[in-house]
Amino acid sequence: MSQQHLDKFPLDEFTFQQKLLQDPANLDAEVMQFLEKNPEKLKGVQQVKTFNLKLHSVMQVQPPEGLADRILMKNCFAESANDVHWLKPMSMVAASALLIVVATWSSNTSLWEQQGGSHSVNMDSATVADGVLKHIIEHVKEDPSLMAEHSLALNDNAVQKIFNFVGASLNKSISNMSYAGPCVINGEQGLHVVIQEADGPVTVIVLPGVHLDVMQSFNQGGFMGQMIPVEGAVVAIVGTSDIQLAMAQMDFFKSVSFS
Amino acid sequence: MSHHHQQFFEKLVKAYSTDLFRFGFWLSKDRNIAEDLVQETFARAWKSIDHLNEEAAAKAWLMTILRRENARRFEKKQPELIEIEESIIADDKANEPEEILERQLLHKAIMDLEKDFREPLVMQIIWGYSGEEIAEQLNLKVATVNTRLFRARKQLKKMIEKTPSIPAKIGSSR
Repeated sequence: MSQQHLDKFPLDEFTFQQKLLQDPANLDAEVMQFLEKNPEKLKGVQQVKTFNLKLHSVMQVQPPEGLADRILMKNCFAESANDVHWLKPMSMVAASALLIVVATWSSNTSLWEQQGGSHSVNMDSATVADGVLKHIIEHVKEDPSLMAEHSLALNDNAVQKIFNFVGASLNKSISNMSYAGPCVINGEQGLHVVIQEADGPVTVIVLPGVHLDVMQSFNQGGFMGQMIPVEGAVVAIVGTSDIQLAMAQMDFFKSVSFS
Repeated sequence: MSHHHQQFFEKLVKAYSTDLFRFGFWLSKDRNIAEDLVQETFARAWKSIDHLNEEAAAKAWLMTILRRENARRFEKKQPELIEIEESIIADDKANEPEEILERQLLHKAIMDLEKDFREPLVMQIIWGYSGEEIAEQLNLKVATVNTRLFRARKQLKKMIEKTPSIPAKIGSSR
Protein backbone atom coordinates (compact mmCIF):
# COMPACT_ATOMS: atom_id res chain seq x y z
CA MET A 1 0.00 0.00 0.00
CA SER A 2 1.46 3.35 -1.02
CA GLN A 3 2.17 6.19 1.38
CA GLN A 4 -0.10 8.35 -0.74
CA HIS A 5 -2.97 5.94 -0.21
CA LEU A 6 -2.27 5.74 3.52
CA ASP A 7 -2.31 9.52 3.78
CA LYS A 8 -5.48 9.83 1.75
CA PHE A 9 -7.41 7.08 3.53
CA PRO A 10 -6.23 6.89 7.13
CA LEU A 11 -7.51 4.07 9.27
CA ASP A 12 -10.54 4.77 11.46
CA GLU A 13 -10.82 3.54 15.03
CA PHE A 14 -13.12 0.63 14.21
CA THR A 15 -10.97 -0.70 11.39
CA PHE A 16 -7.91 -0.34 13.59
CA GLN A 17 -9.55 -2.49 16.28
CA GLN A 18 -10.61 -5.02 13.67
CA LYS A 19 -7.14 -5.31 12.18
CA LEU A 20 -5.54 -5.52 15.58
CA LEU A 21 -7.69 -8.45 16.65
CA GLN A 22 -7.44 -10.19 13.29
CA ASP A 23 -3.69 -10.69 13.51
CA PRO A 24 -1.92 -8.93 16.37
CA ALA A 25 1.37 -10.60 15.53
CA ASN A 26 1.51 -9.04 12.05
CA LEU A 27 0.42 -5.43 12.07
CA ASP A 28 0.40 -3.85 8.62
CA ALA A 29 1.46 -0.39 7.44
CA GLU A 30 -2.02 1.08 7.95
CA VAL A 31 -2.09 0.02 11.58
CA MET A 32 1.46 1.24 12.15
CA GLN A 33 0.60 4.63 10.68
CA PHE A 34 -2.51 4.82 12.86
CA LEU A 35 -0.35 4.09 15.90
CA GLU A 36 2.12 6.79 14.97
CA LYS A 37 -0.74 9.26 14.97
CA ASN A 38 -2.34 7.78 18.07
CA PRO A 39 0.49 6.75 20.39
CA GLU A 40 -1.92 6.44 23.32
CA LYS A 41 -3.16 3.23 21.67
CA LEU A 42 0.23 1.53 21.99
CA LYS A 43 -0.47 0.24 25.47
CA GLY A 44 -3.64 -1.46 24.28
CA VAL A 45 -1.78 -2.99 21.35
CA GLN A 46 0.78 -4.41 23.73
CA GLN A 47 -1.99 -5.92 25.84
CA VAL A 48 -3.51 -7.60 22.80
CA LYS A 49 -0.11 -8.94 21.81
CA THR A 50 0.45 -10.29 25.31
CA PHE A 51 -2.95 -11.95 25.22
CA ASN A 52 -2.05 -13.50 21.89
CA LEU A 53 1.14 -14.92 23.34
CA LYS A 54 -0.91 -16.46 26.13
CA LEU A 55 -3.24 -18.01 23.57
CA HIS A 56 -0.22 -19.40 21.76
CA SER A 57 1.13 -20.82 24.98
CA VAL A 58 -2.17 -22.43 25.98
CA MET A 59 -2.55 -23.98 22.52
CA GLN A 60 0.80 -25.77 22.81
CA VAL A 61 -0.69 -28.94 24.27
CA GLN A 62 1.88 -31.66 24.69
CA PRO A 63 1.55 -34.58 22.30
CA PRO A 64 1.59 -38.10 23.74
CA GLU A 65 5.04 -39.47 24.53
CA GLY A 66 6.64 -41.21 21.55
CA LEU A 67 4.04 -40.11 19.00
CA ALA A 68 6.57 -39.57 16.18
CA ASP A 69 8.22 -42.94 16.86
CA ARG A 70 4.87 -44.72 16.77
CA ILE A 71 3.99 -43.07 13.46
CA LEU A 72 7.31 -44.12 11.97
CA MET A 73 6.94 -47.64 13.30
CA LYS A 74 3.42 -48.03 11.94
CA ASN A 75 4.34 -46.79 8.52
CA CYS A 76 7.82 -46.91 7.05
CA PHE A 77 9.26 -49.49 9.45
CA ALA A 78 6.27 -51.77 8.96
CA GLU A 79 6.65 -51.31 5.22
CA SER A 80 10.31 -52.30 5.44
CA ALA A 81 9.30 -55.47 7.20
CA ASN A 82 6.90 -56.31 4.41
CA ASP A 83 9.64 -55.70 1.88
CA VAL A 84 11.63 -58.71 3.10
CA HIS A 85 11.13 -61.53 0.69
CA TRP A 86 11.26 -64.52 2.92
CA LEU A 87 11.74 -67.65 0.81
CA LYS A 88 11.30 -65.77 -2.44
CA PRO A 89 12.33 -67.47 -5.66
CA MET A 90 15.96 -66.74 -6.33
CA SER A 91 18.06 -66.26 -9.42
CA MET A 92 20.36 -69.02 -10.58
CA VAL A 93 23.39 -67.34 -9.05
CA ALA A 94 21.69 -66.87 -5.74
CA ALA A 95 20.45 -70.45 -5.91
CA SER A 96 24.02 -71.69 -6.28
CA ALA A 97 25.05 -69.63 -3.29
CA LEU A 98 22.15 -71.12 -1.39
CA LEU A 99 23.37 -74.62 -2.07
CA ILE A 100 26.73 -73.77 -0.58
CA VAL A 101 25.13 -72.12 2.44
CA VAL A 102 22.78 -75.02 3.02
CA ALA A 103 25.63 -77.50 2.61
CA THR A 104 27.70 -75.63 5.17
CA TRP A 105 24.68 -75.28 7.34
CA SER A 106 23.87 -78.97 7.15
CA SER A 107 27.36 -79.96 8.23
CA ASN A 108 27.23 -77.46 11.04
CA THR A 109 23.78 -78.49 12.16
CA SER A 110 24.82 -82.13 12.13
CA LEU A 111 27.69 -81.19 14.36
CA TRP A 112 25.36 -79.20 16.52
CA GLU A 113 22.96 -82.09 16.78
CA GLN A 114 25.83 -84.08 18.24
CA GLN A 115 26.95 -81.31 20.53
CA GLY A 116 23.53 -80.00 21.47
CA GLY A 117 22.40 -80.03 25.03
CA SER A 118 22.54 -77.81 28.00
CA HIS A 119 25.95 -76.73 29.16
CA SER A 120 27.21 -73.79 31.08
CA VAL A 121 29.76 -71.34 29.74
CA ASN A 122 31.81 -69.16 31.98
CA MET A 123 31.96 -65.77 30.25
CA ASP A 124 31.55 -62.32 31.74
CA SER A 125 29.70 -59.54 29.96
CA ALA A 126 32.85 -57.73 28.79
CA THR A 127 34.15 -60.94 27.25
CA VAL A 128 30.82 -61.54 25.55
CA ALA A 129 30.78 -57.99 24.15
CA ASP A 130 34.37 -58.20 22.91
CA GLY A 131 33.82 -61.61 21.41
CA VAL A 132 30.62 -60.57 19.68
CA LEU A 133 32.19 -57.46 18.16
CA LYS A 134 35.32 -59.33 17.10
CA HIS A 135 33.20 -61.99 15.44
CA ILE A 136 31.06 -59.45 13.59
CA ILE A 137 34.09 -57.56 12.28
CA GLU A 138 35.91 -60.73 11.20
CA HIS A 139 32.79 -62.20 9.63
CA VAL A 140 32.12 -59.01 7.64
CA LYS A 141 35.77 -58.95 6.49
CA GLU A 142 35.46 -62.53 5.32
CA ASP A 143 32.12 -62.02 3.64
CA PRO A 144 31.40 -58.34 2.86
CA SER A 145 27.93 -59.22 1.60
CA LEU A 146 26.97 -60.48 5.06
CA MET A 147 25.32 -57.25 6.09
CA ALA A 148 23.80 -56.50 2.69
CA GLU A 149 20.08 -56.59 2.15
CA HIS A 150 19.20 -59.67 0.13
CA SER A 151 16.68 -62.43 0.12
CA LEU A 152 17.16 -65.19 2.60
CA ALA A 153 16.10 -68.53 1.31
CA LEU A 154 16.82 -71.36 3.67
CA ASN A 155 15.20 -74.59 4.45
CA ASP A 156 12.83 -74.15 7.36
CA ASN A 157 14.05 -77.33 9.02
CA ALA A 158 17.68 -76.21 8.88
CA VAL A 159 16.80 -72.84 10.36
CA GLN A 160 14.68 -74.46 13.03
CA LYS A 161 17.51 -76.86 13.92
CA ILE A 162 19.97 -74.08 14.45
CA PHE A 163 17.55 -72.12 16.58
CA ASN A 164 16.76 -75.25 18.55
CA PHE A 165 20.44 -75.80 19.18
CA VAL A 166 20.74 -72.48 20.95
CA GLY A 167 17.65 -73.35 22.98
CA ALA A 168 15.31 -71.19 20.95
CA SER A 169 12.12 -71.82 19.04
CA LEU A 170 11.52 -69.98 15.82
CA ASN A 171 7.76 -69.57 15.90
CA LYS A 172 7.56 -67.65 12.63
CA SER A 173 10.02 -66.06 10.22
CA ILE A 174 11.80 -63.05 11.63
CA SER A 175 10.75 -59.83 9.92
CA ASN A 176 13.61 -58.36 7.88
CA MET A 177 16.03 -61.24 8.56
CA SER A 178 18.60 -61.37 5.76
CA TYR A 179 21.10 -63.85 7.20
CA ALA A 180 21.12 -66.65 9.72
CA GLY A 181 24.04 -68.93 10.34
CA PRO A 182 26.19 -70.61 12.94
CA CYS A 183 29.07 -68.76 14.53
CA VAL A 184 31.81 -69.29 17.06
CA ILE A 185 32.34 -66.68 19.74
CA ASN A 186 35.22 -67.16 22.16
CA GLY A 187 35.30 -70.82 21.21
CA GLU A 188 31.60 -71.36 21.86
CA GLN A 189 29.07 -72.07 19.14
CA GLY A 190 26.24 -69.67 18.71
CA LEU A 191 23.75 -68.33 16.25
CA HIS A 192 24.41 -65.31 14.04
CA VAL A 193 21.43 -63.46 12.56
CA VAL A 194 21.35 -60.25 10.52
CA ILE A 195 18.17 -58.19 10.52
CA GLN A 196 17.73 -55.31 8.08
CA GLU A 197 16.26 -52.34 9.93
CA ALA A 198 15.35 -48.94 8.52
CA ASP A 199 18.71 -47.36 9.27
CA GLY A 200 20.81 -50.36 8.32
CA PRO A 201 21.62 -53.92 9.31
CA VAL A 202 21.62 -55.13 12.90
CA THR A 203 23.40 -58.25 14.11
CA VAL A 204 21.87 -60.61 16.64
CA ILE A 205 24.06 -63.25 18.23
CA VAL A 206 22.64 -65.93 20.47
CA LEU A 207 25.12 -67.60 22.80
CA PRO A 208 23.71 -70.64 24.58
CA GLY A 209 24.93 -71.49 28.04
CA VAL A 210 26.13 -67.96 28.80
CA HIS A 211 24.59 -66.48 31.90
CA LEU A 212 24.05 -62.80 32.68
CA ASP A 213 22.04 -61.59 35.66
CA VAL A 214 20.70 -58.46 34.05
CA MET A 215 20.49 -56.87 30.65
CA GLN A 216 23.63 -54.91 29.80
CA SER A 217 24.53 -52.47 27.10
CA PHE A 218 27.81 -51.52 25.54
CA ASN A 219 29.09 -48.89 23.17
CA GLN A 220 32.45 -49.37 21.53
CA GLY A 221 34.13 -48.92 18.19
CA GLY A 222 31.13 -47.14 16.74
CA PHE A 223 28.81 -50.01 17.64
CA MET A 224 26.04 -49.97 20.21
CA GLY A 225 24.92 -53.19 21.73
CA GLN A 226 22.62 -54.84 24.20
CA MET A 227 23.08 -58.17 25.89
CA ILE A 228 19.80 -59.63 26.99
CA PRO A 229 19.70 -62.64 29.30
CA VAL A 230 17.12 -65.19 28.23
CA GLU A 231 16.39 -68.72 29.42
CA GLY A 232 19.67 -70.65 28.98
CA ALA A 233 21.39 -68.09 26.76
CA VAL A 234 22.33 -64.50 26.10
CA VAL A 235 21.04 -62.59 23.09
CA ALA A 236 23.46 -59.86 21.95
CA ILE A 237 22.03 -57.24 19.61
CA VAL A 238 24.52 -54.96 17.88
CA GLY A 239 23.82 -51.95 15.67
CA THR A 240 24.63 -48.29 15.39
CA SER A 241 21.63 -46.55 16.98
CA ASP A 242 19.11 -47.01 19.77
CA ILE A 243 16.19 -47.12 17.39
CA GLN A 244 17.87 -49.86 15.35
CA LEU A 245 18.40 -51.92 18.47
CA ALA A 246 14.83 -51.40 19.60
CA MET A 247 13.39 -52.38 16.23
CA ALA A 248 15.64 -55.43 15.92
CA GLN A 249 14.79 -56.50 19.45
CA MET A 250 11.11 -56.24 18.63
CA ASP A 251 11.48 -58.15 15.33
CA PHE A 252 13.56 -60.87 16.93
CA PHE A 253 11.53 -61.52 20.05
CA LYS A 254 8.25 -61.41 18.15
CA SER A 255 9.37 -64.56 16.34
CA VAL A 256 11.75 -66.32 18.72
CA SER A 257 11.09 -67.71 22.15
CA PHE A 258 13.39 -69.40 24.67
CA SER A 259 12.37 -72.08 27.06
CA MET B 1 9.96 -47.44 -0.84
CA SER B 2 13.36 -45.86 -1.38
CA HIS B 3 15.65 -44.71 1.38
CA HIS B 4 15.09 -41.15 0.15
CA HIS B 5 11.35 -41.53 0.66
CA GLN B 6 11.87 -42.92 4.14
CA GLN B 7 14.12 -40.02 5.03
CA PHE B 8 11.65 -37.48 3.69
CA PHE B 9 8.78 -39.14 5.54
CA GLU B 10 10.80 -39.18 8.76
CA LYS B 11 11.55 -35.49 8.28
CA LEU B 12 7.84 -34.73 7.85
CA VAL B 13 6.90 -36.76 10.92
CA LYS B 14 9.52 -35.03 13.05
CA ALA B 15 8.65 -31.58 11.75
CA TYR B 16 4.87 -31.73 11.83
CA SER B 17 3.53 -34.50 14.05
CA THR B 18 3.45 -32.28 17.14
CA ASP B 19 1.70 -29.36 15.48
CA LEU B 20 -0.67 -31.71 13.68
CA PHE B 21 -1.50 -33.31 17.01
CA ARG B 22 -2.20 -29.86 18.45
CA PHE B 23 -4.35 -28.94 15.49
CA GLY B 24 -6.18 -32.26 15.77
CA PHE B 25 -6.65 -31.74 19.48
CA TRP B 26 -8.21 -28.32 19.11
CA LEU B 27 -10.46 -29.58 16.34
CA SER B 28 -11.59 -32.73 18.11
CA LYS B 29 -11.17 -31.62 21.74
CA ASP B 30 -9.88 -35.09 22.55
CA ARG B 31 -6.31 -36.32 22.84
CA ASN B 32 -7.07 -39.88 21.72
CA ILE B 33 -8.98 -38.71 18.68
CA ALA B 34 -6.20 -36.23 17.94
CA GLU B 35 -3.62 -39.02 17.93
CA ASP B 36 -5.82 -41.15 15.68
CA LEU B 37 -6.17 -38.22 13.31
CA VAL B 38 -2.42 -37.71 13.18
CA GLN B 39 -1.75 -41.42 12.69
CA GLU B 40 -4.29 -41.64 9.89
CA THR B 41 -2.94 -38.48 8.28
CA PHE B 42 0.60 -39.83 8.20
CA ALA B 43 -0.56 -43.26 7.05
CA ARG B 44 -2.08 -41.52 4.04
CA ALA B 45 1.03 -39.43 3.59
CA TRP B 46 3.18 -42.55 3.57
CA LYS B 47 1.00 -44.12 0.87
CA SER B 48 1.33 -40.98 -1.24
CA ILE B 49 4.94 -40.20 -0.41
CA ASP B 50 5.92 -40.56 -4.09
CA HIS B 51 3.87 -37.47 -4.87
CA LEU B 52 5.00 -35.37 -1.91
CA ASN B 53 8.20 -33.80 -3.06
CA GLU B 54 8.28 -30.39 -1.46
CA GLU B 55 8.08 -29.83 2.25
CA ALA B 56 5.98 -26.66 1.95
CA ALA B 57 3.40 -28.42 -0.21
CA ALA B 58 3.50 -31.45 2.08
CA LYS B 59 2.76 -29.26 5.10
CA ALA B 60 -0.43 -27.89 3.52
CA TRP B 61 -1.32 -31.35 2.28
CA LEU B 62 -0.97 -32.87 5.76
CA MET B 63 -3.25 -30.23 7.22
CA THR B 64 -5.84 -30.81 4.50
CA ILE B 65 -5.80 -34.56 5.17
CA LEU B 66 -6.17 -34.07 8.89
CA ARG B 67 -9.11 -31.75 8.38
CA ARG B 68 -10.75 -34.29 6.04
CA GLU B 69 -10.17 -37.11 8.48
CA ASN B 70 -11.73 -35.02 11.20
CA ALA B 71 -14.71 -34.24 8.97
CA ARG B 72 -15.14 -37.96 8.27
CA ARG B 73 -15.69 -38.55 11.96
CA PHE B 74 -18.78 -36.39 11.76
CA GLU B 75 -20.07 -38.43 8.84
CA LYS B 76 -19.89 -41.53 11.01
CA LYS B 77 -21.29 -40.14 14.25
CA GLN B 78 -21.48 -36.96 16.18
CA PRO B 79 -18.83 -37.11 18.88
CA GLU B 80 -19.67 -36.32 22.43
CA LEU B 81 -18.44 -33.08 23.81
CA ILE B 82 -15.65 -33.77 26.20
CA GLU B 83 -14.76 -31.74 29.22
CA ILE B 84 -11.24 -30.42 29.60
CA GLU B 85 -8.96 -33.14 30.81
CA GLU B 86 -7.13 -32.15 33.94
CA SER B 87 -4.00 -33.83 32.66
CA ILE B 88 -3.79 -31.43 29.75
CA ILE B 89 -3.22 -28.49 32.00
CA ALA B 90 -1.85 -30.28 35.03
CA ASP B 91 1.74 -30.12 33.84
CA ASP B 92 1.44 -26.41 33.41
CA LYS B 93 4.74 -24.61 33.70
CA ALA B 94 3.09 -21.65 35.34
CA ASN B 95 3.52 -21.89 39.07
CA GLU B 96 1.38 -19.02 40.28
CA PRO B 97 -2.16 -20.21 41.04
CA GLU B 98 -3.61 -17.14 39.35
CA GLU B 99 -1.60 -17.85 36.23
CA ILE B 100 -2.69 -21.49 36.21
CA LEU B 101 -6.30 -20.42 36.62
CA GLU B 102 -5.94 -17.98 33.76
CA ARG B 103 -4.52 -20.68 31.49
CA GLN B 104 -7.29 -23.08 32.46
CA LEU B 105 -9.89 -20.46 31.68
CA LEU B 106 -8.26 -19.67 28.37
CA HIS B 107 -8.12 -23.38 27.57
CA LYS B 108 -11.83 -23.74 28.25
CA ALA B 109 -12.64 -20.54 26.39
CA ILE B 110 -10.86 -21.80 23.26
CA MET B 111 -12.68 -25.11 23.60
CA ASP B 112 -16.00 -23.27 23.85
CA LEU B 113 -15.43 -21.25 20.71
CA GLU B 114 -17.52 -22.29 17.75
CA LYS B 115 -15.53 -24.48 15.36
CA ASP B 116 -15.80 -21.87 12.60
CA PHE B 117 -13.93 -19.42 14.79
CA ARG B 118 -11.65 -21.87 16.57
CA GLU B 119 -10.26 -23.50 13.45
CA PRO B 120 -8.83 -20.38 11.72
CA LEU B 121 -7.53 -19.11 15.04
CA VAL B 122 -5.61 -22.34 15.69
CA MET B 123 -4.27 -22.32 12.13
CA GLN B 124 -3.03 -18.78 12.58
CA ILE B 125 -1.56 -19.22 16.06
CA ILE B 126 -0.08 -22.72 15.86
CA TRP B 127 0.80 -22.91 12.18
CA GLY B 128 1.54 -19.23 11.64
CA TYR B 129 -0.75 -19.11 8.62
CA SER B 130 -1.70 -15.77 7.11
CA GLY B 131 -5.32 -14.82 6.41
CA GLU B 132 -4.77 -15.68 2.74
CA GLU B 133 -3.34 -19.13 3.54
CA ILE B 134 -6.20 -19.91 5.92
CA ALA B 135 -8.70 -18.76 3.30
CA GLU B 136 -7.13 -21.11 0.78
CA GLN B 137 -7.14 -24.05 3.19
CA LEU B 138 -10.71 -23.51 4.32
CA ASN B 139 -11.95 -22.50 0.89
CA LEU B 140 -13.26 -19.19 2.18
CA LYS B 141 -12.84 -15.55 1.23
CA VAL B 142 -10.04 -13.70 2.98
CA ALA B 143 -12.57 -11.19 4.34
CA THR B 144 -14.57 -14.03 5.90
CA VAL B 145 -11.44 -15.44 7.54
CA ASN B 146 -10.48 -12.02 8.90
CA THR B 147 -13.95 -11.52 10.31
CA ARG B 148 -13.80 -14.92 12.00
CA LEU B 149 -10.38 -14.20 13.48
CA PHE B 150 -11.62 -10.87 14.81
CA ARG B 151 -14.75 -12.41 16.26
CA ALA B 152 -12.81 -15.31 17.75
CA ARG B 153 -10.59 -12.99 19.76
CA LYS B 154 -13.55 -10.77 20.67
CA GLN B 155 -15.44 -13.79 22.00
CA LEU B 156 -12.43 -15.04 23.94
CA LYS B 157 -12.12 -11.62 25.50
CA LYS B 158 -15.80 -11.67 26.47
CA MET B 159 -15.57 -15.17 27.94
CA ILE B 160 -12.54 -14.27 30.01
CA GLU B 161 -14.07 -11.00 31.16
CA LYS B 162 -17.00 -12.93 32.62
CA THR B 163 -14.57 -14.23 35.22
CA PRO B 164 -14.13 -11.37 37.70
CA SER B 165 -10.69 -12.38 38.96
CA ILE B 166 -9.13 -12.53 35.50
CA PRO B 167 -9.72 -9.32 33.60
CA ALA B 168 -8.97 -9.79 29.91
CA LYS B 169 -6.65 -6.99 29.12
CA ILE B 170 -7.41 -6.85 25.45
CA GLY B 171 -9.16 -4.40 23.20
CA SER B 172 -8.97 -1.71 25.86
CA SER B 173 -7.07 0.73 23.78
CA ARG B 174 -9.83 3.24 23.59
